[in-house]
Amino acid sequence: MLKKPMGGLAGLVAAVGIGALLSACGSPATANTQAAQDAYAKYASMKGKTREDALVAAAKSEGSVSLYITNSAIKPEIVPAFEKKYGIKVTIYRATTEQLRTRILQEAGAHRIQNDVVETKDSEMAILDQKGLIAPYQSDITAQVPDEAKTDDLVGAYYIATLPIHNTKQVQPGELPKDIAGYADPKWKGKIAVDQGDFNWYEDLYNYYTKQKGMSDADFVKMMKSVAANFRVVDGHVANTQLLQAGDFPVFLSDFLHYVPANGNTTLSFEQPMTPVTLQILGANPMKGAAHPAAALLFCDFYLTEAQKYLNDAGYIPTNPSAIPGYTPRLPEGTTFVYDDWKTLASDKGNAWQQAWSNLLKGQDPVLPQ
Amino acid sequence: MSTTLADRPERPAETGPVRSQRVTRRRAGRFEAKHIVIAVVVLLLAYLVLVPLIFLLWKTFVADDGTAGLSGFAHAFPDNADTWAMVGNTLAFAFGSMVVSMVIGGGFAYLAERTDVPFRRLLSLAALVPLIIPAILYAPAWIFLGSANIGLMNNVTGFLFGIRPFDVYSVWGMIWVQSLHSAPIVFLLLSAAFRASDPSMEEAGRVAGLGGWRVLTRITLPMVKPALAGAALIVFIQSLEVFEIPTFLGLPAGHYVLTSRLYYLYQQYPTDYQAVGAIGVGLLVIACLGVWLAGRVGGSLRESGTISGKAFRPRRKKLGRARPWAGLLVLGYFVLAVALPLLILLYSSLLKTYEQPGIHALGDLSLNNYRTLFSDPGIVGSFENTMIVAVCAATAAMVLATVASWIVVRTGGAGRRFLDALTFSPLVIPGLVFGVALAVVYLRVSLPIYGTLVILFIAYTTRFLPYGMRYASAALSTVSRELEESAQVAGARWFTTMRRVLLPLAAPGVIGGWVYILIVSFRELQSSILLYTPGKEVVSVTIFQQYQDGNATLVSAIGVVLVLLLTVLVVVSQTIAARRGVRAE
Amino acid sequence: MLTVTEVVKNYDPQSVRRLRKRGVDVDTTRPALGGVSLRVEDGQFHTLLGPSGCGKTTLLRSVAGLEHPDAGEIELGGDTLFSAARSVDLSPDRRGLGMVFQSYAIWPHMSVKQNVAFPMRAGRAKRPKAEVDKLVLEALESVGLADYVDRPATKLSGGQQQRLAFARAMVGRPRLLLLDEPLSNLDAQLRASMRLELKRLQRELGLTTLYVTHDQAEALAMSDVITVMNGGRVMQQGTPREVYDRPANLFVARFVGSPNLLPAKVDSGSGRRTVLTSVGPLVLGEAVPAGLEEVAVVLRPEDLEPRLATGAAGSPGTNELTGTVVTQSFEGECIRHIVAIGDQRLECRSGRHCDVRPGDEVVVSVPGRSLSVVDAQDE
Repeated sequence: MLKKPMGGLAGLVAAVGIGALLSACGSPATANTQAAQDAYAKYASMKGKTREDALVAAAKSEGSVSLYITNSAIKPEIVPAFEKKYGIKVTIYRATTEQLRTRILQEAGAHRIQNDVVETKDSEMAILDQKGLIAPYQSDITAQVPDEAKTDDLVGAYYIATLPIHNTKQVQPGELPKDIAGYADPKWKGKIAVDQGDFNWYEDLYNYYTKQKGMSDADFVKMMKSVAANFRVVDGHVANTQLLQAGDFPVFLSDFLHYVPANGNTTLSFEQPMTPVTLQILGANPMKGAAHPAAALLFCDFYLTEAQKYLNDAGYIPTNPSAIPGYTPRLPEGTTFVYDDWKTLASDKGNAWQQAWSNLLKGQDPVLPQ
Repeated sequence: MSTTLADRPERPAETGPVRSQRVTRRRAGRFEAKHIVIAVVVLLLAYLVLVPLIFLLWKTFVADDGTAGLSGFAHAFPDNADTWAMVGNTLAFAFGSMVVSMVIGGGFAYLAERTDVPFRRLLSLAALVPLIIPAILYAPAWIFLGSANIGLMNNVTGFLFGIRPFDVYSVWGMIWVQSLHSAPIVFLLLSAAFRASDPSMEEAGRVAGLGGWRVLTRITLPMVKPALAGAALIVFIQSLEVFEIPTFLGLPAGHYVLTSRLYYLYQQYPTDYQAVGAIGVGLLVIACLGVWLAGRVGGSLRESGTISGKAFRPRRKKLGRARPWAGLLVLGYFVLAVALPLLILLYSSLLKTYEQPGIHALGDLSLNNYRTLFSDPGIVGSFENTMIVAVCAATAAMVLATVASWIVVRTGGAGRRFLDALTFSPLVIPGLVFGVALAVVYLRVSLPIYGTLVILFIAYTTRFLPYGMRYASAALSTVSRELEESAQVAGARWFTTMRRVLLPLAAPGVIGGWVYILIVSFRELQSSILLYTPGKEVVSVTIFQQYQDGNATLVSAIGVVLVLLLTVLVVVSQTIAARRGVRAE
Repeated sequence: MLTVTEVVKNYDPQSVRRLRKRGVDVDTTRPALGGVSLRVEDGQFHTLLGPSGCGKTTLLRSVAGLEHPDAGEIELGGDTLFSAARSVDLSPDRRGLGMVFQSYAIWPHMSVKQNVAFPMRAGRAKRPKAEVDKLVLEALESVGLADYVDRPATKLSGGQQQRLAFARAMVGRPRLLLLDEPLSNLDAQLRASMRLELKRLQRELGLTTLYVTHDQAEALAMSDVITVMNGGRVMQQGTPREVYDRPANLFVARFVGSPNLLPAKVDSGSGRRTVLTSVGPLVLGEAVPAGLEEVAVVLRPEDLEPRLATGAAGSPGTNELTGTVVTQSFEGECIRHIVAIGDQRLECRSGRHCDVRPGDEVVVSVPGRSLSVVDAQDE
């Protein structure tokens, strides 16, 4: 039997490993970036029908567009509408925001940008912009989007609203507190779910209470700790909205508005939302290294106009309701909104808020970033 | 004439070992097919495993700015009470799951293979269905069954006896659900071993006056020690790594485990690869310890050739009066592990949104989800893609694992332990690190790998190699070395010996491994989601996306189809395995 | 003809572990094979005899190519199978041998026929199917398994599996047949009959055979030549009679048969034909070689027959020892007595009609030619 060749195995293995790493070091570069910049510059000044016609013509010759997205309404509704209107093939990569970011950063690191459009949330977009990966979106459509929905990098196409959702079979709207302090009552113990990833929501609450309401840090901490004593910590909005609906617990404090379908479902309700309702801004942006820049711009235009209707139907809050005939907002007039502090979240401070939130959930200190 | 040693001149050899001659002994010149195959396999294995492994180590110990250090460990395991509680919870959960799943899986494997227990076929189904049900649905299914508030089982006991004893949101709940989920691999690994072990040894123990318990602990279990140790190790590591069960069942009750920490780290920006890697390295250390321990406890794998080619006749033990009770146990397990979750799955696949079972729900039942499923080219396409990748990966992994196990089980040298540990390590590399490692390498290779199904093939082959190794080495170690040697002396080349003697005898275990890898390939999400190609989704990605879209009931329908599809596949391959292997009387 | 020259093999850790597991005490400071040489003539039945761990199986496996020696040469019919000096080590499949393993190593997934056909269908020496079928049937007929051709191998009894293993090893008429304790797993009766049958087959087919056993009776009954091994070295080579009658040293004397051993001094005054023992001087059939002074005299129990002291004196050249019968046991084919001569006790075996009883004064006559001496120091 073979015996001796095994002695050299370790050396062999080491050689292979080093070889693999070395092979990973050489990298092909792409020349897309400059071409895309030129195209974006060319279309920036165009308006209305002229722009659309020019984009359609160029996009048709490009043939397809690749989207990296997080939104769940794009694939079933928006893409078919886009493909039908323009005859341009769309491919979609979809993952969670962290996975999406990781994938783009890896591809960018290898100079192999694979997508034309990225669609994600404000803080993630800020990270990609810091890395110099996304092109500013320039179009006359942006004039119809309110300033609150625009960041340095992003023209938001919709908001995701975070607010308590309850099971109507278990609690009546009248029983629900009007603000977070009301949930400190021991009767809510174990009945109010929060997602362990929602530290942005926590930061929004902090900003609202201390900056808009003038509450001291100490009072805020005291209030949140007494509420946190009643928390039921869960993970995953989708899954736990299902459990909420099945009646496993009555209230999901930091749930998303779009999980309450616009029609048909009476079990879940967001009636009489707690103050404040916090908003994340999401939108689509063309990539600097796009291989199909015209198609990318065309999709971004479409996203801010005709797609608004589908976004609204899916339960999101559209930023350009003028594109939707007969639009009525889902949340009542006079709802207090707080916008996500995306600048902080995209910085090192973001991790500090994550740590603070994690501490709050586990009953540890400190519960504010130091 | 009579010759004695005294007639011969004295030789230096008689004073001690002839070390100096070792060097000259190498077989020079002839390089046989065996050596080429082994070299190719070892190189491939080393390549597949070392790419993510070196990446893991590099990311763990070298910060982004190029400084080396151990800060990742400080980030991953800060020195505070929280960390210790987390480690304690994790170990309690993993250890509990290991014990319970070993008892369940091992017990039923023994019943199925060595006794005349009724409903044996149900057991092999019970071993697979929990593996096939999408993980994202399995834990919620148990919430619908065992939650204190809405659990069906509590509703039943509440109605009958006025008590609601079950609470799935607890350490015991976690252990129970995880054990049902891990028991299959224990069952599968151990049934191969029990099938191959010689009952006459147990009979000898009985004759020698040992009681049933002592026969079990002194004879039966030691005979299958390598499989036992391998299964325990895998189950333990799996429990350390599982995401869904601790997050669904542990978190609401305040039980944080290692994977909660991992999830926390995943969310950060910039991604703290050092800390994520540190957890991976921690798991790696545990795994290496485990491999070493399994090697010690299990004895050297090579010693356990139970198919010895000598009056070997597998026989089943008659259970006698205990038979109906054992049958009841099997039925009960089948109901708990298979029928109930599957029924919940089937029921919810017929609904638009989940609602508690009752008369009111009957009106909402429809086949709409199945219509959607079969008419959506994306979903159908993802089944095709996964099938292609999974079949290729399972085949490749088993070919590599079989040759590697042969090296581990049959040859000497320090290299084989190293090879054993090396092939085990992909199991502990966190999915994110694994995915990123492959992306980093193949984004820089101009071959059409990144952005095609090939990268998933590479990912699955590598990630599931450890399972393949356990199956293959458990199977190979039951085949006595003399069966191979006799073929060699009879003039058969190495290749022929492998093909005609070893493989047929190890076939049940090897095919078992193939089936297992096939099934887990359908589940793999963590690296798939990073690496899949737009337009070429795989089932796990489709399930994830549909679930995120709020189509949980459609996911249930996919789950039902998966269970049917894979069960057919499994039954077919087991039938083939049964034809090839040694038949039990 | 098989020639093994100066083969040395060091212990490797695995085989040490394997031996220790079986309860064999292994001295790892010595090699497993310490320079073993032997020669098996064509058609010869050559046995390697020795206790567990003596290296006999290692040597056999080295000949088969299953173990790799560290030094020496092994040649078969002019082909070099192994040579450390020339870096030759043919793999087992190229050596053209037949082998029966202790565990038989019957392939349990094959039928009886498939097992026997394997060497000719899957081996290097492939033959046409028709010829294979004929040879398989012949081989099975010769071992009496012709009726079981299509039966799964696992459905055979232990003895039948044994025969199947022989048939498989012999079917290709190998240049050399290797047998590794093939009878040790059989019960006593079956073993005796298989012994004869095996010998018959070997004769009929004229197979050159290397046989490993620890059973001296088996070795004496079957062999043309016996090589007695101990501690990795050859103790003695010779015909069964030579090994039995003229053991080369104390070890061989003790291991083959269970003789009475009397320490003795050579009486140089008698032309080295007399030795002095505790029971008095004993005259030998031939002179003790020069250089040996402290010896042990080997007295085989079957050469010692006690008779009542009253009888006539023995013939010349016969030593006569007088003593008392201590115990007696009837063993069917013979009667065993222990006779005390002074402080020395001698075991004697006599015909079943011998009528001495415990307490009887007896004379034990010991013919000089049936005595042999070995070096008392040499072990």
